Amino acid sequence: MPVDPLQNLVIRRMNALGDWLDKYEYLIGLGDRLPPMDPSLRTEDRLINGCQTQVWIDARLVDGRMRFQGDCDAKITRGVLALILSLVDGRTPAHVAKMEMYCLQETRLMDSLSPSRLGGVGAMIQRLHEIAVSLCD
Amino acid sequence: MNIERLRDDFPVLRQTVHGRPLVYLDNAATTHKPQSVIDRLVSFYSERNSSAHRSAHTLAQAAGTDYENARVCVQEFLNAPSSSEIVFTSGATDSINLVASAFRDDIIRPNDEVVISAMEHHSNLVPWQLACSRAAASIRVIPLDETGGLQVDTMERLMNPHTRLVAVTHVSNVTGIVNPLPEIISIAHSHDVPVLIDGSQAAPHMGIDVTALDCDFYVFSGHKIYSETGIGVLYGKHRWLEALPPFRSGGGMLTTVTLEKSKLEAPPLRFEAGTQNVAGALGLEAALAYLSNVGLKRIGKHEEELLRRLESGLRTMDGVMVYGDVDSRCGSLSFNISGAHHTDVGMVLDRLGIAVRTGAHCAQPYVRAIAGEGTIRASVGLYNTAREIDDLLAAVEMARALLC
Repeated sequence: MPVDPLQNLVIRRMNALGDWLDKYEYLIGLGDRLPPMDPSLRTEDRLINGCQTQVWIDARLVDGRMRFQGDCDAKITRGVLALILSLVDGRTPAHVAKMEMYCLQETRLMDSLSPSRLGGVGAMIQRLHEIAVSLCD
Repeated sequence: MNIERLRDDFPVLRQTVHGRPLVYLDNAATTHKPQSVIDRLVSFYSERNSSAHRSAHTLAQAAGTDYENARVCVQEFLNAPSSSEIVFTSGATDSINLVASAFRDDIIRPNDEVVISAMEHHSNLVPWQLACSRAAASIRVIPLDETGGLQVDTMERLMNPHTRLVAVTHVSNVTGIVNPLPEIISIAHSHDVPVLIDGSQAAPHMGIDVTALDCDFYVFSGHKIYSETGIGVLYGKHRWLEALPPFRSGGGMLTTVTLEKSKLEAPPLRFEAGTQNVAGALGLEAALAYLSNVGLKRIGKHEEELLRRLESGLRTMDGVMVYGDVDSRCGSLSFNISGAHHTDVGMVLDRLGIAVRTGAHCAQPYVRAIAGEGTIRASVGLYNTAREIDDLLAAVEMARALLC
């Protein structure tokens, strides 16, 4: 698995916070700093299925790099979305398509937001990969 | 009622979650199992394990006898006139689907109507939507009043010569509001319309008397009443079960079979095609015996006090909305914190060791009408304590501080 300095930084930061309530507070802070999404982009096709909360992701290709916008109506999940988007924003589609989000396991964020019902982190990652693959063509 | 001693009967409760003692307040989703239920399953599989009503050997006969004894136990629990009116199913959803699938052909025809209520769980809503859609019939809905309860006085206007069935829940799985069944059943019967009651959220909390209620069908799930998953009950009046076609077909539901045609067994076996869930029935029998031992009246009173404590605590907090404006609740209470998403609150509570359910609780039309997208639901069981309610109240304060 290729080492990703950004993901390593996330792991260090998250794991330095001992308590899960502190981690949630950190994530809420990240979510607060996520730029607001253009409301016209909150469309059905940008909505991620599999999340209990409403999560939208929009991606565009600008000069060969992927640029993302996202939104979520719940604060903790919005924070996780902000964290994930910060890892992929500005990368090439080929990079994102192959990217392994190992930091989500190592910070136990994946366990914290169960993929089926609660946060749908798995669904977010899957959507990012799908978009990236479609932009590789 | 010595709750601490009762808690010792439930092995699952002896654990910590995220380093804190588990506070389990998701009993409307499923309840934990007392050791006596677990032991009953183990003893069945280690000592009997045979198919009921099939072979003539000793173990099979014992399994058949045990299974039928469990049926009698359910009959007594519901105060049903006869054990032949008790059908074992896989759960309340299965029971409702059984009745809904039988409502076809000459029972429900084009332009007929089924009356449900606006507070139903999806399992007492979608099967009727499908049944009506198959028959080109339609759904009529008993609307909500401003308290979150049902406007039962509008029911008379919903009834007409095309009404074929009234299907309502005994207790809301969202707000814990108890519906006035005697009134609902009496209105339906005055039009010669049968009534199905979804008792999933009532049976674990109060004594049920289907004879006094005079309902035509009553359903509940084993796993919500301290028994295991995969077992449930359909009570149906004899004349109805006799009139309904089978839900599924297969072994054990027929008296004679030729390659051309088969003769159906009488109820309840007509509705129990395939190998029955004998262990499930025995576990349910053990759970009902446990409840009867503790006393359902005492359990109901204890749980009502817990919900009262919770409601009065929540109502003193700024920005907390409790749904349903009623004097007493059964089992469940739903709330939200203004400015906080219900899933965020649920995640914070989980980290504090508290298990609640968040979302629409499989009752989207009802939740949308009273609360919007979702709620936080705390639902109590016989083993919950006042201290646990206080833990929840303290955790709600922490969640509010973090999220708002």
